[in-house]
Amino acid sequence: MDDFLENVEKYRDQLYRFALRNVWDSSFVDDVLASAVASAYENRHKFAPGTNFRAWLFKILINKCFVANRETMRVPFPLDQAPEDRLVDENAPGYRDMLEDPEEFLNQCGDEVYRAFRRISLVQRTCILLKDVEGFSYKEIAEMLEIPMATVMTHLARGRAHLRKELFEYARQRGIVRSGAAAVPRLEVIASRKAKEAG
Amino acid sequence: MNRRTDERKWAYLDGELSPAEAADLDQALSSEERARFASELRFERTVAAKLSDAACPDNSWWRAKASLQRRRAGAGRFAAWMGWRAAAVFACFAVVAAAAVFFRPQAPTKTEHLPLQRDTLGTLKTRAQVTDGLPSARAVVQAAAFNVSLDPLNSLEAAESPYRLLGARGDDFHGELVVRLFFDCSGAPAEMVLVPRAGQAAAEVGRAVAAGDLESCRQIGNALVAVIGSSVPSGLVQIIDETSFPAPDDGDAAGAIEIPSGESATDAAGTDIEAPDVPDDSSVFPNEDPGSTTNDAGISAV
Repeated sequence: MDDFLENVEKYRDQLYRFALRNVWDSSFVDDVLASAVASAYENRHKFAPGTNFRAWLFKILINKCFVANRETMRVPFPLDQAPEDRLVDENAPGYRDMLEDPEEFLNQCGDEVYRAFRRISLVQRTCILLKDVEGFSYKEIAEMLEIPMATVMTHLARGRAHLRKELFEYARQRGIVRSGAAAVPRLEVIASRKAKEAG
Repeated sequence: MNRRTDERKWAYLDGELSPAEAADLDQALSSEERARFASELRFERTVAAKLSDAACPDNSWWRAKASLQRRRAGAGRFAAWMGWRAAAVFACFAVVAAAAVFFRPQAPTKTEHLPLQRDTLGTLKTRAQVTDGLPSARAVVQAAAFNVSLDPLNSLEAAESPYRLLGARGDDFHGELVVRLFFDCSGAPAEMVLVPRAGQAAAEVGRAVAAGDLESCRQIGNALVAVIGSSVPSGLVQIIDETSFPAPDDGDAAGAIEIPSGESATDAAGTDIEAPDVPDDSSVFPNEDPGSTTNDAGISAV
């Protein structure tokens, strides 16, 4: 058992953060992690040596997260059914502000980033975490989730778009980005106007 | 940009297009598009960095290891202690005990919904299946295979105890065994519900907690324990605790649990003992392929 746990422990941070960002109720994270480790141990004879151990572990964890989210009976906000016109208009005022300095933008959004992330659908969250955070390939993600690769691409594209939509709307309401032509202009525009008037 | 174009864009940015496809797309991009793609990729990477900003606390990892050790210890010790003959006798007894509780005086009640409303004292008394004290209530809990101890300190029957046990009942809720314990808390009714930690009953309890219909809820052993009542002493949920397995009599050292050499535990006759079955919920996504054990990505089937 010690050898097995040693191998699993190499991935403990990755497994934990995946569960933390995926499970709706964060009080379940420890239980999900413990359940995944136990299940991996119980099923260790099913792992074929030489194959992708990390992906095998994540596959178990994904299923545990799915069960945990199902148990809490959270119905995700139906963003994944959003029609085209509900996604961010890339020409909307303030959208480019969001992309110009993403670090500053996300710092200003604070914990809303995590809340917005939890509001997108479970499978979109899973795909984004597996791709962007854990670095799995589209093919590996498709195998782990047992869905076609084209579906993975769709979930990624939609999930990313919906997350931006959530963050963009939040930022507009809080004045982090411009909300429109009639809204208060950005500071550098005010500065440049003053400079023109003065000089 | 339509959805198909958007997906292709992300495949390009994720480095998932073939070299030929990537070269084609690259050639077709204007400088403005190239700049926008770069800023979008930067944004996604910044989001990913924020999402990955979490490390596993030591406590969480120790809990996971301890939970696994407890499971293995339970299987190994108990099996070694019992031996297969005693295990067979115990199994028969467990079946008889379960039948005696759940089929007396009436068959287990199949309920479509898990009623979690508050009752009166009078109603609580009529709902109980057993009303003859703590041992019977404990038998109900044990027969439902909850590894919890009901009132391990025997505080319920003490003179200064604020609550009296009125009775207990077991129900079948969509195939899950649910136990209810009924109390008189200084004249006010209270009920404790024990449900399996994973399942539909637990989901209903979760919903009731979210709706404010339950006073408190706690995970103990393999049970989710919830308390219902308008005035419930905070100590009521503490009268249930995780149960511990019988101590072995072979002088085994306290502390870390040693599994016999080799990968599996064995009983006295040297027969391999399987660890308790972990519910195989590893294939909850649709399109399960029961075929080959590995796939093209080198991922073993679970």
